[in-house]
Amino acid sequence: MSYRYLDHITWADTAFEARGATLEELFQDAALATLSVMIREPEALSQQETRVFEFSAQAKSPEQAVGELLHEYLQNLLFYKDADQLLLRPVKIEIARPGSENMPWHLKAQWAGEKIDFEKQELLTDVKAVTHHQFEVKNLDSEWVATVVLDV
Amino acid sequence: MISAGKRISETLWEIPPSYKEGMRVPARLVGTPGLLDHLDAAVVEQITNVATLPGIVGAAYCMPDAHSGYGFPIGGVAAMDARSGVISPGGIGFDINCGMRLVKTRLLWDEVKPRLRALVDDLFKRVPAGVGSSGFVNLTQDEFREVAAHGSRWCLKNGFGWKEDLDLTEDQGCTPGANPDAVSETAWKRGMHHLGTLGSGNHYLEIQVVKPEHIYNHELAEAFGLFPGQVVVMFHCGSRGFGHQIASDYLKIFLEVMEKKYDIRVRDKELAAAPFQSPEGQAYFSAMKCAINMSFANRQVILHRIREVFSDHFGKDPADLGLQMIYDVAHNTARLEEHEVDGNTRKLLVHRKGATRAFAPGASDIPAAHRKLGQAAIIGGSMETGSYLLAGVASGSKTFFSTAHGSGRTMSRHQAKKMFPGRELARKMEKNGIYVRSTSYAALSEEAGDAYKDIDEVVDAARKAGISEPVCRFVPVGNVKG
Repeated sequence: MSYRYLDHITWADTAFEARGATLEELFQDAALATLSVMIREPEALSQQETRVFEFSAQAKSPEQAVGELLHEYLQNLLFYKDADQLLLRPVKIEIARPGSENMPWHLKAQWAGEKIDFEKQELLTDVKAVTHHQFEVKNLDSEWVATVVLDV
Repeated sequence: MISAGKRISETLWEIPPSYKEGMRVPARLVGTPGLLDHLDAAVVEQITNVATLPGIVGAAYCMPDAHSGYGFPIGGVAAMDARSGVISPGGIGFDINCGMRLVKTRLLWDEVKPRLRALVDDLFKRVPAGVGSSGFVNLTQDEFREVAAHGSRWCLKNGFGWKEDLDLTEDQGCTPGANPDAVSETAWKRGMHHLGTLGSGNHYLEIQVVKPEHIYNHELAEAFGLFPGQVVVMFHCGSRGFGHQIASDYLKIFLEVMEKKYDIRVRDKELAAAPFQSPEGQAYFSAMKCAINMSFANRQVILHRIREVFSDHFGKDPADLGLQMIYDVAHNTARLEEHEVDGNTRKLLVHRKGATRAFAPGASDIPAAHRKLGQAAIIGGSMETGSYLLAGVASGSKTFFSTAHGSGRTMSRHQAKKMFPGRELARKMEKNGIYVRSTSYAALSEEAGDAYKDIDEVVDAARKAGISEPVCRFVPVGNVKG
């Protein structure tokens, strides 16, 4: 697990930084950071229900494209939470890099989890949105780093 | 400490347009020296960014409870020219039409005290709160579209309210011009289950008491129906997943067209804006109104539930218990209003994000019953300290008739969680006479009173600045925390 919450960006909301040696790790960590705002021990969620989400992004740079994919991916987590009352954790993430500059990047995410249950889970604070405020994805030497501010 | 600009009065600090490239108007921060000294630095950057938005009129304002958000600071007010200005979802917030509703009773604290725990327990059970909670009103998507189109009127038609509730709600609980066709399928699905839910974070439902020493304006208090020893109910919530998704959808659309189509450049993506008169700007405005209506309806069905619970516990009809509204007012919204600017009446789109409209006595938008008093502005304090009813005043024109909305945070949620363990906090609150129920102790700690500014100082700053008049302070005794 590689994410940490950041105090200096916002007082009203919740900011975090996630890191991953691979893009798949980065997406996994960012999802867990978001889930951990809403529920204690998201790793303990059972896998009763599954969802698959696919999204394509074409952007000027790989960092921008990955940023778009990550933003949609996290927003998708919030969608299932409200539309289906499901808390889902990432099961499999596949990110296809384009063969050429004109092709889009593609994300296929598999989620699994369970219905929200106040008796069973320790629920924390609801996340309303993934904001664009200081939202950033960087590709450093050996890792990917994302900064995300969640509206709570 | 703010390093830029200068103090121009005891309660007003001004940062000139020369502070930052692109500022079209000054930024003005309302607050006593004590409040402004402890302002987080990001607020200054955010409000001066707001001052760069096309079509902004007069100045970009920060209310005394301002704290950093994203795009706009929380407590930010910006009035845009309705013809040449922009509309910015970030100036409204994701929780569109988040607001406060204040309900009075004929009950005295002595009568409620012996039943308080049972009452709060029942409210906690019957007004769903917390992460992903579902409401008690089951709707089809077609019915939900009706809610979005008609707001509190839908509630009245379906037995969730009284006619007088609508008269005492901003816009009579139904903002004209809501267009369900401008709302995405995603937003309908996200919001479907949320009618009648509080949500979480700083959303709450509170039982409060009027203490004799806390009535600051006896004439106004009496006219609003308040008296010493009285029990009132205040709650804070918004448009839930529906509004969150509408804001997210249009932010994305605005980011796509802003530069390419309209040559608008902003300093923060959360300030994404489109000309108000553009197709995108008008589409957002009419979708936003659906969220406004859903939010009014949300607070209306919650009021219905509160009436049921009180009625069950006291064995009387809600009308006999005097469970009447004082007012319902939003603090995350953009509204078309007419204001005097340099001697001319101008039509402005006033964005208020964490700021409350507070019209002066006589304004036509004030419910007839209160028109002579000034508009009621409901200020929700932290769950430990107390809340206020304020009234609008004529000198409020300087901030486009806007005042504070709450206490304003002094630290991050993460920091508060570390400093105030939830269980300990609940025990401390109970010792201090506040019985609290929450779905989560961790979430409770984020809302500790010490994580917020001093509400009394915020209200006093608003009084000294001449933007609202304190009527009454309310002390919390029971709290359902979202």
